[in-house]
Amino acid sequence: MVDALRETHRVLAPGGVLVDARPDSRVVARVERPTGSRFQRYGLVETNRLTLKDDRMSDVAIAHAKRERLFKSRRRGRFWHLVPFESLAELRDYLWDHLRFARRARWSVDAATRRRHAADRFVIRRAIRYEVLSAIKATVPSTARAASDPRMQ
Amino acid sequence: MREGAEDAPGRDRIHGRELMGAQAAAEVDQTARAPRVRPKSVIERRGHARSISRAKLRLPVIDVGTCVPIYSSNSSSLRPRPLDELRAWGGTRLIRGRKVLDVGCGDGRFAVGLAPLAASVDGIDPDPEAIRIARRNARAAGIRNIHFEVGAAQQLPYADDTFDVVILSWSL
Repeated sequence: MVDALRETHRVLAPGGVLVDARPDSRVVARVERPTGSRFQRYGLVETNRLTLKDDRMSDVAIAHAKRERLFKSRRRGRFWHLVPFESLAELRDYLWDHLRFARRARWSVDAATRRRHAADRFVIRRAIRYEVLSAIKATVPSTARAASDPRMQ
Repeated sequence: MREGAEDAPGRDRIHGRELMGAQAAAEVDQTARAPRVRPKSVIERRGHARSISRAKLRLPVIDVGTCVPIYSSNSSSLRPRPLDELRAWGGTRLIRGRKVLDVGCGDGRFAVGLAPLAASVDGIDPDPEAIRIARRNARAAGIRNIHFEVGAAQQLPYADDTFDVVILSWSL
């Protein structure tokens, strides 16, 4: 991942911008049922352990790139993203197929309530994080700088 | 080990505070001075995002909307719409009139969405099938300032200082 960031830095023009955006696995996703303009929470969906590890490695790579002074952070934040489903069965299929999430939700409502609303629309609400980074580059090309530097001659 | 510390749960506090408003941050400061016992939320008990309590995590919401097909095998259709995501990052001025590279572009959904705003968009992905679909999608959308290539992020087939913006959307 650090190699990819170095390559990214290479192809970016001076003052160029790198945007890193991905789901935030540190925030547990929620299963909710839309009720008019509001949402009723039905449960939580945890992130797969392997995905958590991958995300941590990505964070480490970004931190490494900053320490190498390839990039500096300009702005970062999070937003919610709602993934809609036509029914509870569809949501379950999604969780079963999706590698990012655990295969089953941890329900906070009882089975009878879930059965009663099984045909209703549901959403998974998950947090997406992003960071906008600026490429740190010398304005003078390194070869030209080396040529003009008396210590390098 | 220092790298690992970047991700330790305690560090979330710093990140979390940046995301909160001034009032919420002041509340946290007050709490730090006079700690009070309160029941832990489910998130805290599970050890995830300890400092980001559910009450304080008031984030803007991006819905995929009704025009996006409900769950299908194509998982990229379940991501936020490109312009919505771009708005969350800081608005269209980030890419307007610039040369953009989408690393890990997949089926080009994001790149195709950005192309009308940018000067040019390049997409790269290691999956040849995904690139084939991306080219087809771009053709279908009638977009001409977009190019897709098969390749890895570790060896980008572009010259130095080529792009103004590089996007790693769900790919790092």
